[in-house]
Amino acid sequence: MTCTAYRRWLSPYVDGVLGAQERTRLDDHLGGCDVCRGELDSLKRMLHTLQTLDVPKAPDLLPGIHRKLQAAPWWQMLARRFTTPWPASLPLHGLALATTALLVIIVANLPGITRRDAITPERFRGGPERSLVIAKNVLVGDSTIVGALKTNLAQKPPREYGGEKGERSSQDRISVQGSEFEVQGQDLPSDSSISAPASLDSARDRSAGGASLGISPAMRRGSVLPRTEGRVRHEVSERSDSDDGREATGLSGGLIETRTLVQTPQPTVQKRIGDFWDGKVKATDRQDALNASAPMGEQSPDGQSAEPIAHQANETPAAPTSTASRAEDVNGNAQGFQAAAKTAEANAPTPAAPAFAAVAPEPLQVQWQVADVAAAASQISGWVIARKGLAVATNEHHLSIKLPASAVPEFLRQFSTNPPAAPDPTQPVWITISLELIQPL
Amino acid sequence: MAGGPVSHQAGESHGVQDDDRLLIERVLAGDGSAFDPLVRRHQQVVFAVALRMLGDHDEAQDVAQDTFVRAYQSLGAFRREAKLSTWLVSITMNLCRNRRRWWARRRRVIAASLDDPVESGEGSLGHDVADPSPSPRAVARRQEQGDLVREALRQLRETERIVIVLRDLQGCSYEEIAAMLRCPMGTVKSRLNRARWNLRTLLNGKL
Repeated sequence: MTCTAYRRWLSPYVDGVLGAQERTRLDDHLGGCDVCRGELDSLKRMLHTLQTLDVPKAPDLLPGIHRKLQAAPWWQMLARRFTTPWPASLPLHGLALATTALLVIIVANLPGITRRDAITPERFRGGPERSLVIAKNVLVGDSTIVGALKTNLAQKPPREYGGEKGERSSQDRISVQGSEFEVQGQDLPSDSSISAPASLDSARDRSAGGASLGISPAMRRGSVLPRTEGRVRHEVSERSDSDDGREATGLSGGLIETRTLVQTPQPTVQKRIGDFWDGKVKATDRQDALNASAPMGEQSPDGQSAEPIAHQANETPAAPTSTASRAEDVNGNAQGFQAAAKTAEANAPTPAAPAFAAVAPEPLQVQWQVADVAAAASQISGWVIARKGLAVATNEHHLSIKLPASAVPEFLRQFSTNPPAAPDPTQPVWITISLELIQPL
Repeated sequence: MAGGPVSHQAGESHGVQDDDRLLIERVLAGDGSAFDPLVRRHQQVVFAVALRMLGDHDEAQDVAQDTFVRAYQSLGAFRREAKLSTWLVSITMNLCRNRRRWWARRRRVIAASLDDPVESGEGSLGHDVADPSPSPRAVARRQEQGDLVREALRQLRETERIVIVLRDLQGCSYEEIAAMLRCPMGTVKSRLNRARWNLRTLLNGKL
């Protein structure tokens, strides 16, 4: 090992950080090398000089520090404030929160910002319109009332599934394709509002006991509770080529058959409601959105209510038979309307129902089968307008009707020999009716 | 003041560190006045390091003030297990490096003498040797040696001057230097060995 190598150990040697082994070897070398010992002495003298240099006295730095802190850029002060713990930055935190809240308020009030609270269900509180949920499943055109049912907002959701065939065990308990509901306060007309034509029976047989009645648009759009998927698809393949996953509709001898294949979850319904309030829904869909505003537990029995009745008519010979309604010449072709309107007491207590559904207007949903949709729509519109009502055709086969509540029974009665119970006259002033006219093949 | 390395270690006991921690907690809790004792306690070390790194009194004072401003603004990031003086010196080193680069870009030459009198609020202060009873001859010789060392330090590369200042002038340990410079211990040893060798070469046996 050369002296140059040993001299590299001199620096850590004087600092006392050289390893013990190296230190021993360096001590041995220094004992016999005057040159390296001289280097060590020179290094020690230099270090001693460095260590004995006078210490510059610092001026008082505090005034300058305070001045610089006070003159710090605002963003530095802000950053420091926000990085300090809560007690120190509490005022600015509060200021930040207040500023944020102010910005939110300003932005929310900017023109063009859609506010859903601009039209809230609460606006209907005390207004002329009140909720009225009436399940309507009406077959018109062959002098036969297919089915009707009066349901109640307080109906409970289905408690069990899986049954293949529905059965009606009692007057206040109805099972629809395995889904069981309770109907409260029903006054189901046993003699007239449940009826089935022969063609319906045959169609029902082919549907393996399934319901074969029309349902409301809201039902078709998914505001009903789930059914047995496999069964529904079976019906689709059997009855219709439609397999789009939503519905399969067919007509058989004046029979309207509609199936909902996919359950639309509640959020979708709520979204549709929101879209409706925001005006995002087409006029043709607005009524459906309104229909969908009711909770699923309420809406689904409406749509399914006709099915057990059909079963009842089909499977129970003693069941009420069809009653020919009063025929009325609507379109000049001696085509009479026949209707069986079923009412639900909209104002029934609904403790579990959301407040929104309790106050949102629920149109009375009616489906009528007519021979000539255009002529029927014209005549119905004239009838409604004559009673100071309003009838708007939202599409070629759909009417959105607003009638004085007092005129609703008459409206329903004229197309049916078995008029439904009149809506509660103490509650609604105006009734919205969603009337769908269906032309049989 | 007696001779010897200006070691901030020597003056720091556990009690001081505990006091530092208490003051830091008070500052972080919103008591800004608690920062003043911290400044008074560590301003000597910070200023000395800045002056020996920069060689200019005014610049050193400015950098020392900036060091405390920076420390106050980022006190929340200070790791409590470290010594405050180590952290402050590390900040000072970074600021000195930035300042010298700023000078280099502007081709500014430090011409101030380290022996220039220091102006403070209490009047003019000289860089007096802290020997209570120095003989005139000893004072003269020490001043001469000091001038030689400072001149040699100015000629050192910055990386070498840093380790000389920290180790031989400030008395920092190898571990502290490694922490300040964020480099391994071996690097500190080799860099310090090379710096001392070069400094001794510059002095050329004048000491």
